[in-house]
Amino acid sequence: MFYMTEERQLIVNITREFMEKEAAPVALEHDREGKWPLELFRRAGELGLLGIPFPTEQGGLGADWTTFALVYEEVGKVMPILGIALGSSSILAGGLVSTAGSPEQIEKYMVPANKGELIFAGAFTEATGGANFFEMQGHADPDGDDWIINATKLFITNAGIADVYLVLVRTGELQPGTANGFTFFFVEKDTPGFTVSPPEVKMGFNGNYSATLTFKDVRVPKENVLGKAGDGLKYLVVNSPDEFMAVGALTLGMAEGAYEMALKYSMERMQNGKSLFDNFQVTRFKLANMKLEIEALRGLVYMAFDLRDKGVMPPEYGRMLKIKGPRVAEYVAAEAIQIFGAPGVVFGTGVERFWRDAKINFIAGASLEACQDALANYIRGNYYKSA
Amino acid sequence: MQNTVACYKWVADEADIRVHPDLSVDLSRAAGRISEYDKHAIELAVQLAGNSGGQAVGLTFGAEPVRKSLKDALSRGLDEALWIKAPEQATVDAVVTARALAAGVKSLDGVGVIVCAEGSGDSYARQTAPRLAALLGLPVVTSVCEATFVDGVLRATRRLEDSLETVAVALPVVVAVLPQINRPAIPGLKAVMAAGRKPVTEKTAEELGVDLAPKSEITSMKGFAQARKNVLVESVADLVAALKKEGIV
Ligand SMILES: Cc1cc2nc3c(=O)[nH]c(=O)nc-3n(C[C@H](O)[C@H](O)[C@H](O)COP(=O)(O)OP(=O)(O)OC[C@H]3O[C@@H](n4cnc5c(N)ncnc54)[C@H](O)[C@@H]3O)c2cc1C
Repeated sequence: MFYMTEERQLIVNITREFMEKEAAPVALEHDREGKWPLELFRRAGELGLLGIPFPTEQGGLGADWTTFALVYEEVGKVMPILGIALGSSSILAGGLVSTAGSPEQIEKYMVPANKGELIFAGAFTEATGGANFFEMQGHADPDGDDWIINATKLFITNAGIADVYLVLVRTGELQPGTANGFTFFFVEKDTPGFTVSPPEVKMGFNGNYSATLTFKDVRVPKENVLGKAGDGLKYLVVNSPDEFMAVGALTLGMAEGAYEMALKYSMERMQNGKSLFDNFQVTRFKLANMKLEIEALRGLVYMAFDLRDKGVMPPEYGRMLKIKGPRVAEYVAAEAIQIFGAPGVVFGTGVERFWRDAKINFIAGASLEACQDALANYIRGNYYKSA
Repeated sequence: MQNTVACYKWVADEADIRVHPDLSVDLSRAAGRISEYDKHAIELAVQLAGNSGGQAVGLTFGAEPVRKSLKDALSRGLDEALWIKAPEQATVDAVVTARALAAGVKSLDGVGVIVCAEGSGDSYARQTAPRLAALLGLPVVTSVCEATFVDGVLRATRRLEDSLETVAVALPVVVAVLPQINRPAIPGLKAVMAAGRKPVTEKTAEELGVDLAPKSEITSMKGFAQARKNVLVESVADLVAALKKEGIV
């Protein structure tokens, strides 16, 4: 592959070693019991899986985004929810801190987060809609040197486990046509007035918590403002392609995980002395089409990450990965279940877990349709630009 | 100060080996990896070098593909690596390997302990350590499940059929370790990235005057498949009777 180097291959091998030896034996247990993978998260932090693309001065690995993608692909093959836990802390929230944090905030939050010693959650979504920032109700008001936050945030990943929540609220009047008037605050878990509901019981991403955060007159000092007050939404716009791309890499791994299981099953399950693969053209064609979709996704993922590393990636590639990745993972996982027959729908084989987890990626972080809508807007913009 | 050497082998990844229905073995698509057993040897060498204040040196013998192993081995805590390069297409058996490794050890200074795994991930012939020791004129301790320095000698526990034997042996010494000896650490990504900056010495087998004539030859390799009898039984009693007939219970 054009993107593979000796060092990247070695990092892939080491990640695989970690996932096979430490994550695989417990992955399905976490899915069944809905248990957050704290031990694995800490181990991933020790091994350096959290800070891959961030500078060494921030406690990161100082590697590139392609290396990051390769690692997340490996994680997705074995335990998607571990990738969601890692990505929500290090990319969704950590990415914002890395780009907009003050030197003190980097030292206090980012350095331990890159080692897995501190866990972040990023909280944007409210009942008004995940992509509907302009009706956001949550707000913060200045009070001397402090801010007072009042908000309710829904479906927040890593809720209840995180040490620090990065919460986006309104801090000023809306200025139509601009992203002004939103601010990110660091809220530490024990801050008075801040509460976390019990986690939702979901169809997938079991073992990762999604819960409601309530901020009732939560007082934080002005040092807890990320970057500049009023610029929060701008930071989110810059950071979100990375979060979406992480989903692309993770879902590529998920598709591969489901495909490998289905391929093995189709070769080993015998009927009338022949494997499913050799018996039925319909099975062979399923696997051929699954493979084709996976390789097409791989091409898109690594092209996007390569452009990202070169600093020339058009931002819409993030949305493209957020759309294409979950679609391929869901399609491949659904076909894999079909190839398994009855065992495919039983908890425990693990093949259906890929499908449940893939489906959640159509919504978590940004709905597929909202991404399509944004992509269409880019297309319109480019059309008029080039006209 | 004593340096410690870890001998390791680059083998075909077992997960990629395919056995065809005619039992022929297909290695053509197998990627290489450091033999899992040898990761235990590397771990012990790193630990012993840490205890004695010496360097831990990785030593490997093989043709060009082995180059891929160097950073991997170095990321596991070794301080440097020595690669004895075999000519392409060379037929290598345990004798040739032991000669090459012995030449490699001789080219290093201040070696105290040479650690091998009991066997390799591919053929598990268990010949390397004893042959290497014989060529170097050193004592060898095999089946080692525990090893530490005590007052300048190596104290090693050997796991035998139904007993544990502890020996104290003066350095230099060759040891062959069992997987039970330790749990090799998975290296962190920082160590992986730093591995590229560690020193690697590359020497050809000819340069070291290694005799490359093998003494044995593999004449055939076949996959092993358990033949199944596919007996259907009607009841538990029938099952027990069938197992008795086979002499299993
Ligand atoms: C498991 C999970 C984890 C999550 N983690 C987090 C987190 O860590 N932090 C966080 O802030 N949020 C998180 N979310 C919330 C998530 O980002 C939102 O659920 C998502 O953005 C969709 O918003 P919504 O649920 O309000 O649906 P709605 O916005 O009500 O959307 C419903 C449907 O309407 C359509 N729609 C909505 N908006 C548009 C649009 N602009 N264009 C076209 N169609 C549209 C789509 O079909 C969409 O599926 C998580 C959600 C889940 C399920």
